[in-house]
Amino acid sequence: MINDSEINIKKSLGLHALVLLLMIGYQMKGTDKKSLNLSNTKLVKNSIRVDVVGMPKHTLQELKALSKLSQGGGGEVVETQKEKAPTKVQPPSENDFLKAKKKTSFQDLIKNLSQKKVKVNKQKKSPKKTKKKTSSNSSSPINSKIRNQLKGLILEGNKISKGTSLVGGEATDALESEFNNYILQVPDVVKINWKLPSYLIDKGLQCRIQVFINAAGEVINLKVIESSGNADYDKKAIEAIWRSSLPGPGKEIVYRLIRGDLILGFPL
Amino acid sequence: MKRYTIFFFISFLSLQVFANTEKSIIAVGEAELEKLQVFISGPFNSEGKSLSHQKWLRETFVSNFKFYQKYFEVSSSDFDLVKPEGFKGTFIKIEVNNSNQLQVLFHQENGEKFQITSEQVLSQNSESDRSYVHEISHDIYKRLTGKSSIFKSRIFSVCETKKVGRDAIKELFVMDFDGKRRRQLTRHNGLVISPAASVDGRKVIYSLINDQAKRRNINLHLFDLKTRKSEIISSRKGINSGAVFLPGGKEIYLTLSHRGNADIFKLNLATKNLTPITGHYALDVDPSISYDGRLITFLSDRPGKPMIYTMDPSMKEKNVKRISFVGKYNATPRFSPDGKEIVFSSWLDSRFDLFRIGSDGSNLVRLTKDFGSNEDPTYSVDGEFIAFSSQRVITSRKAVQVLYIMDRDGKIIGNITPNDENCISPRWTN
Repeated sequence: MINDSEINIKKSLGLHALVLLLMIGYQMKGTDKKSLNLSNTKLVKNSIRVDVVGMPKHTLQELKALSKLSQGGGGEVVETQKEKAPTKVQPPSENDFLKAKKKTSFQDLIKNLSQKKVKVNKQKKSPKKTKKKTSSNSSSPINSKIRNQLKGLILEGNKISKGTSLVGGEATDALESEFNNYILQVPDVVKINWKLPSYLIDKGLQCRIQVFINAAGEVINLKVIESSGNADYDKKAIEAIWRSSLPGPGKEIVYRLIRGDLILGFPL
Repeated sequence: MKRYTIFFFISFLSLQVFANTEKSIIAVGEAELEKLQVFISGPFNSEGKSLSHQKWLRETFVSNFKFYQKYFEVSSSDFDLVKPEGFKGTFIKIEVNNSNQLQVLFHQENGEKFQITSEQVLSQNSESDRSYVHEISHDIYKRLTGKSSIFKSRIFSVCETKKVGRDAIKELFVMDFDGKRRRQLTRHNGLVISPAASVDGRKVIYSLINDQAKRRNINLHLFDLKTRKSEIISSRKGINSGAVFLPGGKEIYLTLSHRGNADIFKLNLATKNLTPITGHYALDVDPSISYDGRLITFLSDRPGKPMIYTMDPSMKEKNVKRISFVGKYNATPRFSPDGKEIVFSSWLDSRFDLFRIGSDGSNLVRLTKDFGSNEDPTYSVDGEFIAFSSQRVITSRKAVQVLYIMDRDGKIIGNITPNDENCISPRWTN
């Protein structure tokens, strides 16, 4: 009996050690020596989906002007060309970072090891949370007006529906929510200073910068964790952050910003 | 106990390994375009004296760069010999040297200096000397942006020359990209429609409706700008129209209706061999070809109303794909130079307006609105601009169509033909 117990414990220990080694090996495999390990990251983005059900009533110039005014709401416009049911909501798009996260997160590793399917939790936002998020994003009173204008487009040809946030399914606690609310404000502030000369625009370049922010909302350090390969492009992105006056974060989330939990993607 | 301690230690260690801080990537989005400051000064002679009688040189440079207002903030003066103190941007000084050649010095923001001198001597005729300004403007633009400009390009169009009774006589014209130096090419005393230029801009094909001919037909003509001669290349019964050159310039796609139904064919200009490209019972008209020739877009009433399609023209009815799914009446689809998007006109609110759509059918956007009736778009050679005809002035006697240029996002640059002259069907070429 004792022998059986000892054998089981030995087996268990051996198995745990093996699992641990496998996990460490798996994590190290995806690590780029020159850049920060992005395996445990998530992409935070707002999006708007437009289903074209008729010829657009508004011109591109008008939509650009609306977009500029409504930057507080953030988001990207995605269009589809076919007549589709206007109430259909776009499912969360699979992107590299979510895929990367899926591959390397602890939860997913356990899932893979146990060969069990893990149910993907769709984020449900309580009315209270939605209200809080809206108020924090609406830095200017024009936002509600613009949102109403955008809603008006539904009647005039374009179906616009709020896209699904790619925040992920685990951000349920209050601190995570506060952190997300804060970081969602940052792009709107930085975007004001995010400008490129013609020779750098539309080149398909992309860089990612880790931002360290103190309690006063001051940027205390920056780290290019993924270079575009073009020094001028990276420099412009860095300048855009340095020139930005970011809002002060709540004291509960300062520690996350000081340690650099925020990465800004230029453009994604 | 010892084993349990080891077990818990390993478990604790594994938790520590994976309890990394979760980082969040958030998208800032696409950058806004940062305009480059350009200061143009001159012209001066070699001694630095201002040449006020040749101020048109400066005005032409300024006018050229203002086309790219999306990229440049242009200012000018006639007295600054050097870059003004504190000016951050590119300083361009225009000179006419002792050999009467146009010479431009430009001083970039990073301190680099370049000089470009025109090989030709100025003739003192501002009309003919404009081409030197365009050539140098093109060189400067290329150095600043790394891209080719529209400054050396031309636009073919059809303009009304006179009226015979109620019928308008419309002939083929060619002009610089800015509408200057417009000159008449044909004198058929008929109605020229749907011109298209070869890639090198040396030949133009167009259709002619000649009421004075014995048999009223829409025939296809080819005009050679070198010999200035025109010849009929297709006079089959019915429509011989909507022709476009293939990249090599030896073949064309055109719409023919000699079999009773309008279809798109390929015609070899040398052998006159005809190859059907479309073969549907519906009407297929108005082809436009991507610059690499791998794709054509055309108009078809296959769904019951005119919609835009694309296809691989290497074989009959190959990979035909419907692109537009909305619009009461779509017309004149035209490819962008890179073949990634199509601009077209569509009937909306009792007039035509211009729209742009990706060649895969995505990203439908409206470009014009509240600007008269807008038709017949054509992309510039660099894909940055769209020329089109706009019917804005409507008097009790006639409706006047004027040629306009806007950028590819629909920002109007201005008209390139006078407001009191009737011009249609612009076709941009090298």
